[in-house]
Amino acid sequence: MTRTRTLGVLLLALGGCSEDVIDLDPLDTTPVVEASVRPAPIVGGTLTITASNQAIAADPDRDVVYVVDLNAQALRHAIALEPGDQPGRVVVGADGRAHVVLRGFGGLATIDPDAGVVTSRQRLCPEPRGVAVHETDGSLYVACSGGALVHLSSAGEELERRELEPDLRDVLIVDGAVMVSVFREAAIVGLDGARIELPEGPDDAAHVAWRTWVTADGEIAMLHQVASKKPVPIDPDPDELPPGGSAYGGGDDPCQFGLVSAAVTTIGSEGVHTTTLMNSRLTVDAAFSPDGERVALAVPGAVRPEPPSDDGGGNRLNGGVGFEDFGFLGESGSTLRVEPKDGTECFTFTSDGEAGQVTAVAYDTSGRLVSQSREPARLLIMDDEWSPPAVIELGGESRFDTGHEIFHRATDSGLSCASCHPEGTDDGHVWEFDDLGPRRTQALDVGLRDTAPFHWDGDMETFDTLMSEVLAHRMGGKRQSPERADSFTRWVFDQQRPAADDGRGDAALVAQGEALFAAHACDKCHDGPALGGQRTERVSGVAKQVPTLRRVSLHPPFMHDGRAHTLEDAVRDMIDTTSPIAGSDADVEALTAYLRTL
Amino acid sequence: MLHLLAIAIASAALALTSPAAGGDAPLDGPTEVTTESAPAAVAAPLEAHRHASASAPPAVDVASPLLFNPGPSDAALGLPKSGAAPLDRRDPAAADFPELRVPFGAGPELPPAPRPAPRELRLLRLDLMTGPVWRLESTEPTVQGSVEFGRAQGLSAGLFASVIVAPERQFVGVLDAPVGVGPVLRGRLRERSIYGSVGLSAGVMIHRARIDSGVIHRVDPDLQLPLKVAFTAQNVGFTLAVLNGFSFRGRTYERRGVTVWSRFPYRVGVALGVHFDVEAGAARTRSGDRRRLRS
Repeated sequence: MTRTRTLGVLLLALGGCSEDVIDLDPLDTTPVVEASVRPAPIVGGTLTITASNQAIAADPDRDVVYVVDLNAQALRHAIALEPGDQPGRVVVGADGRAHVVLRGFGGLATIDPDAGVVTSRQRLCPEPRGVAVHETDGSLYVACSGGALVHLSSAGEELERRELEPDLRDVLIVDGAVMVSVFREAAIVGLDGARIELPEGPDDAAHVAWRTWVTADGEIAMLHQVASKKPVPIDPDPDELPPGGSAYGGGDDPCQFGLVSAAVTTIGSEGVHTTTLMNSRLTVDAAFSPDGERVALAVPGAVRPEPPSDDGGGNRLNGGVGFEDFGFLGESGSTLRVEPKDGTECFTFTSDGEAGQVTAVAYDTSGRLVSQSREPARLLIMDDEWSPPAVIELGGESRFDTGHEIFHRATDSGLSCASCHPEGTDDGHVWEFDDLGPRRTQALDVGLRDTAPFHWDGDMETFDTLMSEVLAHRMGGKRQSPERADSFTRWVFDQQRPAADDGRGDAALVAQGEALFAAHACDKCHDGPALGGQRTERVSGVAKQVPTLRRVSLHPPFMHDGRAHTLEDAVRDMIDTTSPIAGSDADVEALTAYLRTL
Repeated sequence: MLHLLAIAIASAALALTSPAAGGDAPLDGPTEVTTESAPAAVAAPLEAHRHASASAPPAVDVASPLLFNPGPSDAALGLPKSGAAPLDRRDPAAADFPELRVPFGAGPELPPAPRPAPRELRLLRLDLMTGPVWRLESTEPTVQGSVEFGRAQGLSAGLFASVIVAPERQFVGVLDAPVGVGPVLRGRLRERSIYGSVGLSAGVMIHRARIDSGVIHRVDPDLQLPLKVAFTAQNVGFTLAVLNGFSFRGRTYERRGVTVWSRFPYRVGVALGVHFDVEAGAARTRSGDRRRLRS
């Protein structure tokens, strides 16, 4: 086959002929829309219900916190925060105050829901993610992505700060014990060093814990992803392509698991039970029904703005939303999904996308399902699965954005960009690619501008190439028009996040580490404003793209194949393979201290 | 019949050249003619007729324009007196003279006209062939029809149209149709009914593909070099052809980055078919042919 093809190419060359290549992948030429403030990737889980049956919904795209009276089905307050605050998780204390983590601000805001005002805000750490209230004393725990767990009094005083491990997510208080989930690893760590890891299957591994919470039964529940450990084809033969699918799977048969699937795991006295969802898409939030029989899932996908309807509006949709669709997930992959808690089928109840881009779900005190849509900003309240829901428009400027849409839109394989780059970062998974070997998912939040070529092997010369090869060909997405591709590229490049430095490190040690960085000639390759990302170098006989070191401490495991599980291991590895001088443990400590500030 | 004609001619000549008549006597007037005055050239047929009629009773008292007055000597010759004279006026519709309606008769059957030599025979050849065609990695069925007009042996003008149907249709349903015109040079294997020809045609390759989003078309220039061997019996025969073609542009369909259909611009096919010849007369002799004929 190859020989024949080579002969053919040779004949073509001799004949001076051209090749007409026709790409059968669909082309998306939808006009580009860029929001006035380009939204950040979806983080999900921004809704909570108070004891008085108020919904408090944080809107990170508009920097607003909404207070909705669910009984009256009315919006009570739209509390504006500072631009760029990016409110996330919300928790309500026994005193009725709501505490909202502000990812962009790097702190916590306390809100009086009844008055609709921000009573206080304080800076805590870069990218706080999770927050919980300890019922015994009303104190607060805030988990930061950098690994810090901050304990605050009910008055907001910092009581304690612990460094656990990077990538903390949700804070759980189980029988009085404080535990924190780890986002990429889908693990749970305790303050006493205890660690709960979900069991790995023979072909898959749990990762990316989108939401971890304590159920009414006192169990720990976790919505997470399951990633395949099987070899992943990147250049399959035509016969190996699933009908309607792509190299990364999917296709006409919806009753299957994808390379990445959503799963719900409960951890309790009866052990660990994981339910993996067939035909799943990016799922960012979950909630159990009060009877514990069902689980509601927020599947944001991508929803394009629809022209305003002529039916005059009102606050109840006329059958356009609800669970009258019993079938498979639609093309957009945007839905509110309800499944039996202990098992799923490939058929599912879906809301056909008109619920908006659902990013958060919760059950209110009456047992009604409440979902939050980011675009358009609205809440839906469903009495049951068959009745049209009540819709509470939250208002605000549209945050529909082409880059955001492409990033979250489900492809034929069921994957979206956010499946492997949750929150616009990475899933920490090491994939086993056919003909390539192990490759760790690369992070996107480190600033990709001026870091071409892309991918570990530097085989993607431009971002357009990467989009075409990965998004369209491997994942089964649509090809994008040049305008849309440009918009998407700009959006991705804008996702660079601040440095991981929280300013609390040992300044002397950091300075020593910076000096050692030069002494070990690390800056020879990790150069430029991004400290790398601009060249391909041969290390241990293998040519690889030099990665940027921005936020490197936040992205374990390390190295292209994920062989270094800690930053210290990675530093030792690099010293051993590239440094002209030997490195001591002290050097490693200093170097890692320096790297944690980047 | 011939003998009647001879008699008529002889009688006319006799009447016109008789000295008694002087050439001016009315043809329908009674004229006395003696056998002694008849010229020798006329005497022979009369003599023959005399012998032929010797046993028949002479006809009497019938006046005929060219009939001489029968005397006793004539009666002795046995000449017809009933009026059935060769140049007698007669009714063309009379059924009792059918042989006279075609004066010279059907005669013996003529041999068929000789067929022009293949070099000079102009014909229209319709060819219909089918067979496999290879485009390096693929084998596909093709059907080709062609029309050639020109000399049976020599130069013709050809027009062909083919259809190549790609068998794999999972992702894309392709139909390629090369069409072209050009000269065809045909030669004959000695004096046998086997002809070989080589052509060179230029045209276009029309590419039609049905994909999920509809139907797309591409048109590329195309050359074809058909080599044919034909056996012809009368106006029908078999053709075996090797069809070489080149369409200048390779074509590949990709789905999800995977090549699902690909063809190279070169093709070669083997086709077997039938042809029908319609003769269109002799070709006009060219100067070169005239020189060859003179020599």
